[in-house]
Amino acid sequence: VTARPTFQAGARIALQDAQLRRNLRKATHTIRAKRAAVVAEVPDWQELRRAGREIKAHTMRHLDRYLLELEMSVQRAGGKVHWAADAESARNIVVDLVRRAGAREVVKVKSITNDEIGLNRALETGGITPIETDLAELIIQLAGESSSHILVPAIHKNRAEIRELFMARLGVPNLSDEPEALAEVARQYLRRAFLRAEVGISGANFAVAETGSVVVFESEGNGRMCLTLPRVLITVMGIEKVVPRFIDLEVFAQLLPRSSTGERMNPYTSLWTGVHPGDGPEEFHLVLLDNGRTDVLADEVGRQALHCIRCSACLNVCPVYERTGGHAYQSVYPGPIGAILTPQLLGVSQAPTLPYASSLCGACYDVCPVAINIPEVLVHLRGKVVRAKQRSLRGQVDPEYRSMQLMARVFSDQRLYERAQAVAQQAQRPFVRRGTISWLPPPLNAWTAAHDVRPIPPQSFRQWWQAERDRER
Amino acid sequence: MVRESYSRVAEAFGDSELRARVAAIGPRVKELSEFLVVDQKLSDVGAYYPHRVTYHPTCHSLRVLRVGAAPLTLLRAVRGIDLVELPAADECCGFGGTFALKNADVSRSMLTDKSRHVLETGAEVCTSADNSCLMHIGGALHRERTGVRTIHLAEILVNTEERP
Repeated sequence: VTARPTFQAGARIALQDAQLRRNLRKATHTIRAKRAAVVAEVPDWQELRRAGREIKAHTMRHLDRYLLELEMSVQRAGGKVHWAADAESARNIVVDLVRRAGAREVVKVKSITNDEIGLNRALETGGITPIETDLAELIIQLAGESSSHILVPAIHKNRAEIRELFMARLGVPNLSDEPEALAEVARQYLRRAFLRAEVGISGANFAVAETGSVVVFESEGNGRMCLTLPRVLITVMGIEKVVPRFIDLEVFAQLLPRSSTGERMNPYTSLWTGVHPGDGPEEFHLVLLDNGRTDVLADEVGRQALHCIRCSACLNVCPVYERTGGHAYQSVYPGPIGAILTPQLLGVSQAPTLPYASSLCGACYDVCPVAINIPEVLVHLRGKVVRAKQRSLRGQVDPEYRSMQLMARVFSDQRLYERAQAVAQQAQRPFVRRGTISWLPPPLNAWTAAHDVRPIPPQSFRQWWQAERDRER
Repeated sequence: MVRESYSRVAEAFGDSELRARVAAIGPRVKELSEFLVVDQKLSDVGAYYPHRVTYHPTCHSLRVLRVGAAPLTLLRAVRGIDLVELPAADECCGFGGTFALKNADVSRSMLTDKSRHVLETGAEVCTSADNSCLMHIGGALHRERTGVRTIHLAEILVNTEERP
């Protein structure tokens, strides 16, 4: 097993990529402004957020009940439900269903959950060609890359780069980099795939326990094609996507488009309930995926990560994501939500640097449409990382751990704190030049590499306060 | 910190006595500008500060303590001050405690943008209600010899015409 690269390693590469930095800055700032404008129009936005959070929290508390209800409703409407405990079993179920349908090719939409389980590789190994139909997913599939954003997976690419890619991979001899021209080429390519396809594979935004309806919110219309044209439709959905009642969608239909694309309403919302003779797919399969989610559910603080509706507002507003892009997070779920979801789905030991990939500035929490307190969960997960580390001998002698222990002692004893201050005030003297410290020995040089430091003044605030009071007396 | 994080720490330790002590102390802790403007209903504290100043609102004041416009209310009432708005003021400066060391590269990139915004204002002084942000921003402004100083809000409010 190779260790996953740290967030820092990925960030370092991204930070130096001038083109990537510009692409990300432009894209995130554009969506950020659009979102802020359309959210400001809604007078009861905070009430909607609260409602969204409450519905999700309630559903998570009774997830067992709602999942069984969903299964019954889907079956009643003529669909089949499959339960997948992990990624491998989900992959096997899907590949098997495609084989049984006799298809050599599938069209795909809403692919994050399917990327989570590594479905495309499994399909290809099984001799089946997956065709991504979301424009951005198609771009990264053709480029042989992975998604770097939940909503706009190709956010790291600009149109000049996409033009070159389409010319090379779709055999278009001459192409302008106008968005309309690029979209037209993709449209021609995809239209043929839609008409050929025997099987469609989708993700889902929501599924309603009460009715068995599954919902996809999208912008391009490719979803509508995938969901209605093929003979067989397979939807893979994380178990946390269930909502109890049809009327609950009212809340999310308002929260999601404004938070994700910054639109009042998204162009295409598809809802389907089982199968209907002569209308749409003849077979519908719903694969309910756990893959670590019940472990997340067991954590009282961390479980709110399961409330996520994948809008990506937290990515767009995050100053860290804006600079590193999604690939640094080493997961299909990047950005702030990824930093709390990935370590929980995989176990913190598998992604121990992600909970630290945040300055805890809180911008993500402010924009989250279901009020997930991401900074709170980040701190909680850091605690888990630290406690896990302390269990090993190496963790016990770790300089960071030792210095934190020392600081804890110093800070909990006023006299010790004052003595430490006096000692530091003396110890800094060789390093002070013209009233400033510009270099300190390791490990403090990590700070002085970028910062000048003001020396500790001879008199502390408390000493000054005391002296003033004595003088007045 | 005291109001927000102490209760979580106490919770994590599961010590009911500690929890009670933290619950008692929380409401008594006030941010300075909040104490002056909200509690004491003061906006003009009689300060005098004849300098061009920009104000960094800090993530903590904005999104955790939600002190809102209280610091700006105080600054606007300062005589002689030339207060200029900081572009992209609500963006994090990149300090974030250990973040500045553990993710030094990202932190520095955020700091560079914050410094740039401070310089764009043409201010000679950048102020804030949070010393950690000021240590971070000021450390870089000094290192780069920008000629811009960072000082805490309280240090501005303490100046008077009699004792500048």
